[in-house]
Amino acid sequence: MRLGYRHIDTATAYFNEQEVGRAIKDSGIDRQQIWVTSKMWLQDYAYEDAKKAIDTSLNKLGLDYMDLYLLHQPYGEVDEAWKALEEAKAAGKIRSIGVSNMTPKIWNQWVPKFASMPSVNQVEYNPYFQQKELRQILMAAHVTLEAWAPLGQGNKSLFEETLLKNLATKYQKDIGQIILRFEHQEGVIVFPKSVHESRIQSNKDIFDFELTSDEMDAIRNLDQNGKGMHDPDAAGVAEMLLNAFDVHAND
Amino acid sequence: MTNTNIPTFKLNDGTDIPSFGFGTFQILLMVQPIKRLKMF
Repeated sequence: MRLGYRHIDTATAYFNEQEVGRAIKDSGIDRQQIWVTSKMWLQDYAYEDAKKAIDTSLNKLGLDYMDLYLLHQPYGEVDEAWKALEEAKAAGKIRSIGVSNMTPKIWNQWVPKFASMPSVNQVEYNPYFQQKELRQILMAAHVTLEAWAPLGQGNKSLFEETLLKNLATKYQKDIGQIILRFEHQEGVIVFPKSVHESRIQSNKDIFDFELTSDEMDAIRNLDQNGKGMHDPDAAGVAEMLLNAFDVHAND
Repeated sequence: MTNTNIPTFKLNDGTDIPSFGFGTFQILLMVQPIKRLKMF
């Protein structure tokens, strides 16, 4: 917050909503100037549980509204949870609502059943995994893509790409900044994570230069047109996530 | 919403969202001990 960040992405399943809420309070920054996103975990998707989960997130964050609330995983009673989100939005508890980890297949399974269109879909995205099919679907519906792991989550080969190295030299930026700038110009919302203050600072210094159209095309060509680190369509993923932990174990 | 120097994108519901933020993701394996502690 001290370095100028005003958009924080958390989740029930990150087990840190209380800490995020405390950081917001301690910052002394006007609530209206901060964007807070959190997410509902899939164990809460049954309608009544979903309504409670929204209030639990608000209580943990210490806020009377969240700017954006997402369904974290697209399995189980997704339609019931979405209805709870729509109602919470109408009640002023949430300003915008969205989904996460929806592949084209999963998007087409669920979203046509929703009464309203999600505002975002937060998915894995980086220059090697540009989600081109999904982006076409989202663009047609005016849905914004949010990227998790926008820097490829430690993929060393991405940071060794000659193209990115050359652009970093040209613009006197580091490779991470080139990647984040590319994603920004693609209209993708990014929120890189770091525990190092210098990296937290440098990550956001991407608004004083612009990649050319040819450079954007060149980075688009880095796409490997394959699967990412996490495949939401894979068999058994829903059960694995549901059994991974209990988000209310310490409530 | 006002902001520092970070541009905003307009969502399909008309809301302006800061296009850049800070992620607080923690990997699942790091939080699994929380469940185990509760069990004991």
